[in-house]
Amino acid sequence: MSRRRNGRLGRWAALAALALSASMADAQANSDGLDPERLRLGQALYLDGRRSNGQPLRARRAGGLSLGGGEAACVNCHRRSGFGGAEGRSYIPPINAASLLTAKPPGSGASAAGRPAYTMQSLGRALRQGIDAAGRRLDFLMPRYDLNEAELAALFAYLARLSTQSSPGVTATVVDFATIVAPGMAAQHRQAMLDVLAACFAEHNAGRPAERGRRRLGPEIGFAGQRAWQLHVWELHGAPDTWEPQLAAHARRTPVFAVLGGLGSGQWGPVHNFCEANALPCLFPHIEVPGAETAGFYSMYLHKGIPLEAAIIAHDLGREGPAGQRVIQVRRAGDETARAAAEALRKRLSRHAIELDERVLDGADDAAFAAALAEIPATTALVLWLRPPDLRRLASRQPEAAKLYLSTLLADPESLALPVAWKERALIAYPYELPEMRTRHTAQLAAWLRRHALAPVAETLQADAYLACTLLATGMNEITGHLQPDYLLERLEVVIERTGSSGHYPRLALGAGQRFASKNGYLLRFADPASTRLVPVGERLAP
Amino acid sequence: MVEKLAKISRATLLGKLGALLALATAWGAASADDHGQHQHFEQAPGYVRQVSSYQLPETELRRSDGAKVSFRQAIDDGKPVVLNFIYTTCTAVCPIMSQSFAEFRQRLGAEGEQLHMLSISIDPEEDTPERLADYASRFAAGSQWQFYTGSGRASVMLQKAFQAYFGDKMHHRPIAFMRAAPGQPWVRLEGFTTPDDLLKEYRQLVARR
Repeated sequence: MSRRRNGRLGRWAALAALALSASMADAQANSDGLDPERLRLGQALYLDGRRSNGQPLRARRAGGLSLGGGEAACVNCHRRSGFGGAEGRSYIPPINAASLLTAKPPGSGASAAGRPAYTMQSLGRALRQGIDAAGRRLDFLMPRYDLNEAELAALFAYLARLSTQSSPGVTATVVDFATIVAPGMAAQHRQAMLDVLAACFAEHNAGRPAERGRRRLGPEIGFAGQRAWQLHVWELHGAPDTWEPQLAAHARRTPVFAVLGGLGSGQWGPVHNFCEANALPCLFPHIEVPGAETAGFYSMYLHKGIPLEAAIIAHDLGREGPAGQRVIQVRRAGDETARAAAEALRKRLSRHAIELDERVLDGADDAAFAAALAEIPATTALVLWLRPPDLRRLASRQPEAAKLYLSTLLADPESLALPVAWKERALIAYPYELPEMRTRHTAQLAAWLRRHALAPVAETLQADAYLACTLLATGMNEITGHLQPDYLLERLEVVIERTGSSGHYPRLALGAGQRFASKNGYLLRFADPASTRLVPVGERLAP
Repeated sequence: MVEKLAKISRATLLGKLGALLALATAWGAASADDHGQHQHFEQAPGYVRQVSSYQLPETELRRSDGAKVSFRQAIDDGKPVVLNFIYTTCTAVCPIMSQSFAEFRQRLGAEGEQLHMLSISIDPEEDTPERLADYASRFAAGSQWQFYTGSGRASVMLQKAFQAYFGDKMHHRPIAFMRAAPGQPWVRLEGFTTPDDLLKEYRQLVARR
């Protein structure tokens, strides 16, 4: 699956991957002999609406509206890539180098007459007076800016560079992708994810089914216009604080356009940070806790993971108000997912002023477990951030708490053999669509796995990997030949809501700057103590 | 029910003149680039005004302060109401609408003390009360301008009731709604409305009450 790349190309692409926010201007300027200070100023104007003197950029719009600073920054509408976008019936044109510096022939662009390529002078007129390069008024949406000559030159230099860099991992015929596997993952799970991605890539590379037959008859027609996808596996070893240099070494050896999927549990922070720092899209890993609590730019997640479950539980507890409520949460020491869950629940419950105690289960024997669950008042709500090996010990105990909350990601409740007395009062935070609502998707996935001779070994993991690959295909299709990382992410922000594929999730949607596609979940209970069937308690929640 | 339909198209009337003026300004302003405030401004592109009665459903919403409120109680508080639909990660359309609302409220001054402004999220899953509160402070919204979220179903139901549902959030359009008092028809202003447009429409509305 891995493929060595030419060393010189590798070094070059690693350099491109290193070209990022603060150092981006320097790296780009050096390679072009441009003044890095000028590009830095252009970038500050474009991304932050900050002028050369550090003051906020000022602009005005028809009707006497004035705007300043971040609100006035070009990036809001034209986006990081400079490819623009659309909202309702408002269309934002591309303004990156390829568009701005190219003449639009009659019949294209904003009017039938076309327009000449922009020069620094005509850009100045557009920005300050709202007159485009052909002498026409710009749209109402475009503000008029106060810019001095140096700022105009800086912005022109920035735009003339925008989205012109070739991306790492892209050649005329191949796009390289990586997937990341954290240490300690079950070999079967690792293989299941890699098999799904490999089958999905093979499907992409074979072309549409109707094309495959034609290609067999005439292989010389080849991949015209379509790059083959190549998947590399970046295995991580050892402690998380060593992952970033490991990832950097992988990226040097095999530069990639994006990271797809990935397998981890409670510690994805180093991967997240690496992707943000290297302007590398990292799309939809199968993990339990996202690498950061708030959205970055380059990391996209299918859902918020266990903090979403904590929010669902807090929502349920919060409905009754703080009066007399006491909550005890139990987690196992060293389980990072459980730690993140406990922290998220603590934050959420503090908003409701609900009292929360935490017990940390350390030690592997029954006595340690018994101690962690000792003296639980009957009016307490008990939240168990525990996995099946611990939960199986509940068999020897009678439940004391009034309510019991369990996590789906940790407890895997659909295959959990919980004692009847516990099942009767269990409430489960569930970050997926209800099982009976996703039967069509489950059947489709099963058929797809069968077609590729893959066994259904880990349904959710395989569903996530397949979804990640499907979403990548949608995004790549959107950007066609413009293989720019920022543009891929911006198109994914828009199109995910419109794709039919939502995997195991009730609904997927992003927007500008949004990075967690599913925000929904349910609170479930067992349909009856004898079964593992789960039914919802109340409506779908976006807590 | 449509009682009146009037196309306000100053832009088309003044457009050519405006372009000429702008060109003249551009030619004459080669050395005056840093004095933008003296330059020509074209008008906003105009909006379509329509007077309509909507059957508004009852639904529960959450205000940006976290309170659960009845939509009907919120709009039927006896005050004149100005309403729109927004979402906080909207890049082009909503910031303009919100800024126009903010400026309108400010220019209205004491005249607007009885006014109730509502912005309802069309991306309620993302727009938690906390995010809406941040958004409100971005536009310095005071207590008279409240922001609401709710279930996805409630948001879609309200968009449909106002005939302002266009599928996913990125297809939305700028529309402002005004009503003088409960039981009165709504004035629907579709298009980008400037603070002056809103002032003019609002004053007409309350004068007729």
